[in-house]
Amino acid sequence: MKPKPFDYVRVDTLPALFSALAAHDNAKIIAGGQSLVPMMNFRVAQPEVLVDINGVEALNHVGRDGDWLCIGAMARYQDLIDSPLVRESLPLLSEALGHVGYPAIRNRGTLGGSVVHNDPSAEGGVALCCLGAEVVVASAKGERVVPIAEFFVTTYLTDIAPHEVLTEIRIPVPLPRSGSAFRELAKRVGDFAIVNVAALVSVGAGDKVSAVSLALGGVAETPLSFDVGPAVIGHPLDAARAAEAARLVDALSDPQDDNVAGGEYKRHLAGVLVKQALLAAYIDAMAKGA
Amino acid sequence: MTKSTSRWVGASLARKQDLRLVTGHGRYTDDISVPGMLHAAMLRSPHAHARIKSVDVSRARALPGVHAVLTGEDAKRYWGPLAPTIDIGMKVPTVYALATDKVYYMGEPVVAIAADTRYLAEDALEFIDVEYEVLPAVTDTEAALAPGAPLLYPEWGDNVQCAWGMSVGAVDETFARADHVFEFRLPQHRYSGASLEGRAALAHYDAYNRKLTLHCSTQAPNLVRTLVAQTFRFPEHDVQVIAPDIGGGYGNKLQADAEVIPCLLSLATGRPVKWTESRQENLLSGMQCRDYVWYLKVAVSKDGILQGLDAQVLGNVGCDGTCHAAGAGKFLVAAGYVPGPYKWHAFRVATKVAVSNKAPSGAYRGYGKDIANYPLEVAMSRMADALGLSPAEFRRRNFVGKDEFPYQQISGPVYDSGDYAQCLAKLLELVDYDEVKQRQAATQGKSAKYLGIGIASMLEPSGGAVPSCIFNSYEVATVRLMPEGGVLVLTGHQDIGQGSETTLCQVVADELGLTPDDVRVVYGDTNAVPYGLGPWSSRGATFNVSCIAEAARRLKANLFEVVANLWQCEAAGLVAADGAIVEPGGRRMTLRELGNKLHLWPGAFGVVPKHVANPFEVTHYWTSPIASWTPDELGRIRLYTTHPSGSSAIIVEVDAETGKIEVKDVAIVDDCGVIINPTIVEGQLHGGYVQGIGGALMEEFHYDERGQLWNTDLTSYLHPLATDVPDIKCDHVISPSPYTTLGTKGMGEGSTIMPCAAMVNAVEDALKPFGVRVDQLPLTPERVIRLLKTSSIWREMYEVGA
Amino acid sequence: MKFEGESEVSGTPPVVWDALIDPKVIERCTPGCQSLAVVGPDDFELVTKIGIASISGTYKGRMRIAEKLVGERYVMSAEGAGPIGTMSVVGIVTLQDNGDATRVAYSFEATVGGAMTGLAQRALLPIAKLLTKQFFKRVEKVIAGEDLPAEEVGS
Repeated sequence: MKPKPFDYVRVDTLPALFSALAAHDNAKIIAGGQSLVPMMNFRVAQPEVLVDINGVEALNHVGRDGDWLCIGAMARYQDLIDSPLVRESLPLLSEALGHVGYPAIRNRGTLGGSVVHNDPSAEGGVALCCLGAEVVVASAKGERVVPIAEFFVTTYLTDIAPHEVLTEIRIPVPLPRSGSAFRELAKRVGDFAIVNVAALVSVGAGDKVSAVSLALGGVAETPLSFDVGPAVIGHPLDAARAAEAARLVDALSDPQDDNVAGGEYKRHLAGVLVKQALLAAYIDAMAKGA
Repeated sequence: MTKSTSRWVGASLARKQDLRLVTGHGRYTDDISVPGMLHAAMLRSPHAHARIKSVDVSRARALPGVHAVLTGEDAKRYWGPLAPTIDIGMKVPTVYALATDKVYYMGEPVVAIAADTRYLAEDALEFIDVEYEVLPAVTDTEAALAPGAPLLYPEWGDNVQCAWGMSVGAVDETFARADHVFEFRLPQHRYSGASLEGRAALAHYDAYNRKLTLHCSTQAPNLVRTLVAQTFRFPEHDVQVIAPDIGGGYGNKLQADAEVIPCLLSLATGRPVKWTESRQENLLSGMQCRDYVWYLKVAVSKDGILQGLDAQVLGNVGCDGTCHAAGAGKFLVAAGYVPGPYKWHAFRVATKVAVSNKAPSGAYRGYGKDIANYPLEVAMSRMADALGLSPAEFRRRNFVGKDEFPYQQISGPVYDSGDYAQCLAKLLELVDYDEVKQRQAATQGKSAKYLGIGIASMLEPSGGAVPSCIFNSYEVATVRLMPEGGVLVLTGHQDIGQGSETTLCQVVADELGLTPDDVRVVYGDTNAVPYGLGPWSSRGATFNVSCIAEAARRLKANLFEVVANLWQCEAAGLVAADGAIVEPGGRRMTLRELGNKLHLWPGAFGVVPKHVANPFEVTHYWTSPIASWTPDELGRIRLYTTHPSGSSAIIVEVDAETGKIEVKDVAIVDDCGVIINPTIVEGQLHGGYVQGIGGALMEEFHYDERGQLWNTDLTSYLHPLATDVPDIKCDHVISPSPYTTLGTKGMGEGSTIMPCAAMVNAVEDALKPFGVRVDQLPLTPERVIRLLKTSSIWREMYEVGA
Repeated sequence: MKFEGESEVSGTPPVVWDALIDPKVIERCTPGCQSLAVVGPDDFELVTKIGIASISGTYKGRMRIAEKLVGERYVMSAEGAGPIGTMSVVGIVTLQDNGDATRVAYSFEATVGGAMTGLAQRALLPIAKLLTKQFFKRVEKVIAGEDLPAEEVGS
């Protein structure tokens, strides 16, 4: 299928981007295009102007800022997977992004683009929820910082206005004795996940869990965090605790039937993957030194 | 077989077409551009079943760049309904390529546009207003057959397109006195093949030449020519169909359905019009397949010998299986072949073919032999289990024996040759069956992953000759010696990626003592080739190869007569070898020298004896020596020439927590008689098996109760990827066929026939601790968990939640 | 698929009722509405232009109000079609006095269709919920005599 007619503008700087967005009513930013272009071809997305930001160097960076890792919106999935900095500070993110599509998609697609697109089971979104990320949204008038959970409004909808652009994703670096794990089931390698789980576990004295963060994709309208602290904090994380956490998630979630799978199966799968992810994250934390 | 040499048949020659295809120099229909060419797009029905109340195309017609906008009323007024492709006691509806007063499935073309570009054509679709009166839809087979179901064609009084049955032997008596009677209900879902290249057609009506030229991605250019001529009531000799490189067909490109629409648009505009379908169009309205339910009753003696089979198959051909495509016939084939490779004493079968509000159903790889195989092979393994026999042993006890051929099956067909037990034995060895079973016993229950192995045997009736159907009974080819000694083979057959462009060269090279490089196969242009049919049911290796081998032999005989006359010796003593005609121990004349003599130096008049009628080329017409359309004393007919066979096994690991099935190993043993090109055969086996795995695990057209199709792109209609399938092991048994010239049998469909049954058997074997019985395919993780949830043992071990 | 929700709208039930069934109010308050034509009593044809994140396009719809119990409840049915597919919605809207505000509760059954059904289902329902919320917010502003914002999330 062919897209509707559209105009195309390429910008190299943020000011030029804001001018272009202000000049056109129905403009859409194109970065990697891996989600947008298929939607345009199916005519589900009908922007009148595409503003190409692939040349905006300022948006393509990965760096450390104190206790935060700052990732520019244009950073490509594969670059993040390959980045030694990301692998070292945020192994959960590297692991999660490895499940995105295929190499061709990972070479072009951007994490920022994925966050703005907000698919309910996007690996990036799920990892970022778990990691407690923030996003920086800029416009000609300035910047605002939004916690990721608030940024995700509903399916395919985020808290960003047509004249704004996501510039950066900021992620707090996890505590020293933290472990992580990402688990996903897709029908085939590279497919959209049916359900995915990101887990971050911090371990303190006596091998007891001191902090836990858990996010799921595919069970709600957006990636969503679930508080399983009551089930696991203050104890070593064994199979029974993991099962208790899974029951907590089960009580709090209400996955719906859709084209990917039925709600009942997603509920069951979520339980299985939550247990697996928590146990693996705990083992990972324990391995990081006594 | 009588052959002078067998240097090339049996060789894994690299395919001639691969260089151009792999380097991007292939020429597919969409690659062809003609001056003045327009592009077509179609407005498709959003409803599964509706009356069309009004169609207003005035706004679209007024758009710049739009040259024609045609509705069903236009189609009805100026052109005829779609010509039937099959009619063996079937109800044939009057349907047009564009919907006229009703739409019968979601995605049916309603309006066609020709515009300067495809982009413009799609833009213009939004300017068309169609008013529908939505009617209740029916999609499920049994619901369509139930009284009170919404009727697609009210004049029929029901939704039955055809029905047939037969009965041989004392069926009721056999069941009454049987030691065991097993009953099964085995449905299979709707899915289809997906060619890399979808449908494409470039039609050019030249009013000055009074000629219609159609470039078309098709498996059957001659048939398309006939069907198009019939639909347009256009003189057939003024229609030319050219099929260039074809990016896959798999049985789905054997009709002139939407391909007729660019012809309509070209006739209306006087300009060439190209239509290249999008993947979405292909999924919505390209030919679909499978979709049936079997009810089986099997009578077995206490020593595990099959006694009687009483079967009913209810099939679903979507909106039509006669004109849009020839899908209806496959259920008749299925009914006749459900006895499979086993021996029976009593047999009864009934089939009913239903229409419903879904896309038309075609001839995707299998055409009924897959339908026959699935319930039989699942039943065989389940019965073995119930009787305490291994799946292999139960089959062995009931196979037709290798000394019993030709064997007339109880349903009528004559099986030419085979060694079913050997195929099975080789398979068990290839896959190390006992080792797998030991490993299974050692690991079962130790983790959430369960190992299982399933086998399936198969019969692959090939070389079909079906009456009153496009899948008819003949093949015609010409073998021509050129003046410079090379050979041109003109065949009505079509290479759609299965490699006949190469294999036919191998055959002719052997017959005429040449190398394959001395031979070129011409196909795909109806003005250049004789009226041949095309590749389906492995007609290439059966009809086409036999036809061409015989043509080559007759030409050779004629050439020997010419040379014998020149040399004043006996033709019987001559041999064709190494590019020449040779008198053993004596004289030698290369084919180039002979060609020169015949045409120019001095020329035919001085060289050809009077009794030789065709010194340059021979056109040969071949039919099946064994098919029979005359019912015998039991009312049985025979449609297929050869019966390849084989066995296969799938080893799976099922994750009992997530339901995910991992295919660990696949092994196939195939008997296709004499093999022409082993590499091509292996490729076919691999490709076909992967298609079958797709159907077993992930491919499914999901229509809801309103007839809305839920999979219209490749993120929701899933095909297997390289990561879903392991390396496939293959081995062979060779039982030449007495009914083809070289003993070839073909094997285009066999590997697609088996995987669904083998997969079900493997998964049931893996999940035996939970007593799982698969009731529905595909076996997605969700379905596996649903099946496991019925087991209290599983619930205790793996259920999550409060 | 079910979707239901509640909105508090300032104004007494009779005032809110009048607004909810007034085609002029419906036209102003339906997000993205380009035009509304009255084809019969309580029977309207709408053209809306949706632009929510990536999803944009023109959608044509038909809305009918029936089984009215003045000031208390009505049945609303609507069908829409556009690039993403088709959607039909039918359900009950009830009004309840809540001091000087009215609690408007809605409970709809939605079905989607069309060639993009997979994507449609994922996107259309959340979008429909969002648009419904926005509709009632806009109704409230109209009742209060306020200006409607030019730009909002999803408009």
